[in-house]
Amino acid sequence: MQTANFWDWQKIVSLSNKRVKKTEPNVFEVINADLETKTDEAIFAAFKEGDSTALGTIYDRYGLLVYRLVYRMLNNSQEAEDLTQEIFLSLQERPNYNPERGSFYTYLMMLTRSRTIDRLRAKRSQGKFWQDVGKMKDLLGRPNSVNPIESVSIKERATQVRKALESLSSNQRQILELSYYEGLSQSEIAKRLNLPLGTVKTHSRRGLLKLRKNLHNLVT
Amino acid sequence: MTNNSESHNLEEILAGYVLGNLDETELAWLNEQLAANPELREEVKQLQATLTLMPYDLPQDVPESNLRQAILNNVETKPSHQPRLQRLSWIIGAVTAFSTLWLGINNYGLRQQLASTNSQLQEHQELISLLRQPNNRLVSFQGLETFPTASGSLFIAPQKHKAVLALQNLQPLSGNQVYRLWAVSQEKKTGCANFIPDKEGKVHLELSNDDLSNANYLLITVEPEADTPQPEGNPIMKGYYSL
Repeated sequence: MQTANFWDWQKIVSLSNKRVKKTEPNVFEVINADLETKTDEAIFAAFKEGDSTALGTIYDRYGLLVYRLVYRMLNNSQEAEDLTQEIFLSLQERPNYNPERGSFYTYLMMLTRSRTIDRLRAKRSQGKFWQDVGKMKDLLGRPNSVNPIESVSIKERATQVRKALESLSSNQRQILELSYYEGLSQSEIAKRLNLPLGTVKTHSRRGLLKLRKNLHNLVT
Repeated sequence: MTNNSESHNLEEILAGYVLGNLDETELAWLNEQLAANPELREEVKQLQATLTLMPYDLPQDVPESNLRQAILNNVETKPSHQPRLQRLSWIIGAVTAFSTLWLGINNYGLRQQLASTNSQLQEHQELISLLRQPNNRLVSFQGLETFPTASGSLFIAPQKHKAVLALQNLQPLSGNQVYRLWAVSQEKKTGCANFIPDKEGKVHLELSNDDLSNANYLLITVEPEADTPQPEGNPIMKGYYSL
């Protein structure tokens, strides 16, 4: 039974909005210092003040991650591009990010996932026609080059995350990925994998705890 | 921590909270812990942040178009600066036209998304699929003297033994009163459904009653209670087959 819905950003921020002390700049900000001297939070503040070029900097830092997350979830490149645009433009329309509630990266990725899950639900109710069209288009071939500067900036973190995910048991990893990328509930996962619900919960919780332990330096 | 805490592993419960898979007992217990130890919220935040790192491991796909430029083009549709060079005005015009087109398409997409998340969409889709089938009938309702602004429609799909009634501008009723739909055939009135409007005076109802497609016309009355065998109140709406 799902009583606490993590994926709802509003609930999350309401839970954590009593935080009063800003932590030290996180590792993302430090790593990105070679691209821009400003932190994510400072860049977003400039964007809110009307500096539209700041959005370009935010895109340079996280645009591909946002796109890849959306693409992984929707499995359709055109829809992923459209939704990525919408997400970035929504930062202008509804700049709800509050630094007191966590890092900008966490906010952006949670916003992305939440918006993509909304889209997935809509798609599921509308049938798979357009999704299939998109897949056919993808099969025709796609470029696979990455901006070298961007690539360097995320490579280190990507390696660390990959190692952390590889350290999980296959069940832990599969359940976390089904939950995160496909938005399946624990009971849907239990059904799909033919595992008891309790086992699915235990795997996902322990998997997340192990990830946190292995990625500790990136989230504190 | 309470004695209860022994039966729960705090770390796993926090992870379960972030994953959205706590049951009610666990959630209640966690809420107690969060109230007693506000610093646990930092743990929650770290677990949330951990999950958001997962996309770093995704395949290195890149967008096919210049997404960055497309985003910036659309952000710059609300500039604070004025264009200075007259000769570039045609470029600005082109950009504006492109942006307008994109916004139009985007707006359409957003509207579609909104509509699809609306629970009413399924009902609308049902109506559309009903309309597409042969032999289906449409009844237009209009309010009579006492309810002149009330109006609505009834779609009937005889082969599916299904009908959908949509009415608007109905007045609220008091006590046990209900609106009742009657199929009138050769002056024989058959009660088909009872209903009450929502706060906005709207009714959306799915029916499965074969009497509807065989009637000469349809009536809606206000009845003192549900399921009256014959109409006791005066007709307030009348419906004729228009299709």
